[in-house]
Amino acid sequence: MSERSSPTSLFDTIAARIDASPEALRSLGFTGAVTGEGASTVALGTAAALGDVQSGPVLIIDANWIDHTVTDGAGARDAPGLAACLRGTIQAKAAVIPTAHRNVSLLPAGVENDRPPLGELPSVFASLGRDFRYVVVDLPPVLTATALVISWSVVLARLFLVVRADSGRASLVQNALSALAPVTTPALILNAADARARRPAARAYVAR
Amino acid sequence: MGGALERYIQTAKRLWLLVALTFALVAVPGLFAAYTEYMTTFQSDATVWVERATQQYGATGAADDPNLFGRSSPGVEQTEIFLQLVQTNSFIIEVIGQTSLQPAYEAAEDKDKFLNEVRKRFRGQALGTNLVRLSYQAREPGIAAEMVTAALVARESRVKNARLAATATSTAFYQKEFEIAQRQALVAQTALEQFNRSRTGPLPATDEYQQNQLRLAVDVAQGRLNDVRTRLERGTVSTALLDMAESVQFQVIDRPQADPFPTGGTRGASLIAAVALAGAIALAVCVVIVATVLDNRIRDLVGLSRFRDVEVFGVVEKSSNTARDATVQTLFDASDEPSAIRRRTA
Repeated sequence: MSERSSPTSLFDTIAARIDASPEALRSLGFTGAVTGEGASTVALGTAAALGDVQSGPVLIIDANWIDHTVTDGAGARDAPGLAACLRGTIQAKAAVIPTAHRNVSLLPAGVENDRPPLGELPSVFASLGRDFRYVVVDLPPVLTATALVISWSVVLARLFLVVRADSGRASLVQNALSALAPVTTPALILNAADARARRPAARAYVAR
Repeated sequence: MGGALERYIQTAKRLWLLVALTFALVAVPGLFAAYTEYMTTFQSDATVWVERATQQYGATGAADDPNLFGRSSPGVEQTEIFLQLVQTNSFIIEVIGQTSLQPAYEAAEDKDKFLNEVRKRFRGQALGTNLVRLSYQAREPGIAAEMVTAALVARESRVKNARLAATATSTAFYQKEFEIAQRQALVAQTALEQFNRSRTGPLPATDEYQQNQLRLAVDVAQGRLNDVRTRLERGTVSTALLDMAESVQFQVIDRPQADPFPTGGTRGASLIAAVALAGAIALAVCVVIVATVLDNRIRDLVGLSRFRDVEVFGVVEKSSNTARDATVQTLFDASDEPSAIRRRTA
């Protein structure tokens, strides 16, 4: 097993698969069944890893207004963000801020008291899609904000449901899948898995 | 199928301590009981050769005997007889009375329980057509040999008593007949003597006829007396002959030995150990099955296999430090300089 050089290398395989996918997975959403599955971490790490595995610009959108940890982590809690873009008070490009990674930028959540309307989401998303090769969206948990996730799933090329190993309840995952079933079937990502989960049999299952 | 089995194996590995404790909870007492059973079992055997007298002296006409196929071998017959004797309390009490268990029996509050306990420990086994093994399993050394020896003695005593009783019955019958015949002969003799005394001189024809009748009665009574006496003597002899013909030779080949070390408990101990181990394994398996069925947490890719129609895109390995903090630090705090975000939001 090779020594991992950086924290984002944990997500290299996922990023490489996305980059190598023939389906042109350019817009990706990450969510969990409930809070604590690690969807934000996986979204952040995948975005950083995508910035490493290819040279195109990557944008992280923090659409998790319930638990905006990405925005908080960037120290951009007070910065205008997605909410303002959706209200039309600011251009999306103007709200995007760079990160320490040369290829990765962030559109913070734009913390507001009221949730913004999602009517402008397709147009906002389309304008951002033209400037970035990959758009990674951190979404709130499915079972907490089902309607929001479904709205986002319409504009996303692929939705990922993150399941934390050893804590993710199968029943909750099943409920989340059922909630999304009428619109989309997300792909699963097992987070914080024990290294043994990557043994040959397990890898074969992933490659199915 | 493989995935399901893998889930159970992983549950067993994860709950190995609980599984081990469950297993130990049943297996250890069971194995201890088996060890105790082995160490406290002292068995003593007697091997006996049994043979019918008719068989011994040649079974003439046996081929014509319609009951030939219905008759069991002497070995089986004597084994059954012994086991039937053991079922009786009087036999057990008689046996106990000849051994060192007598004080314990007298001191026992529940005598029926004591007798049943002793009864259970007797074994009878036909080793062949003419060979019988009688055994007793005791908790202390020495007792077993005493019990088997006492059982053989008690059996012999009972057989003798039965023979005596059979002989006595026929003798008593003929004795009674003899007494009656004796009385009849005495009465007839007395009547003849009284008649002779009452008549002197030549007798008229009528008296002479009566005298002849009385003499005839005396002769008849005497004849019957002789006949009954003969039968009495013959009866005694014939009963003895019959008894000899029907008797069974009971020859103890191997006398019971009092071994100082445990013997005969291997089978019982093995059974207890096997049951304990099987029970322990079954209980441990039940624990694993129940834990697996009730636990719906997803632990690995195998856990995701239950969502059959959903693609598993990838796996993020567990990191030694907090992945989120490290990633955030990489993206937003890569240098000592204030990040672009911080500069803009400051």
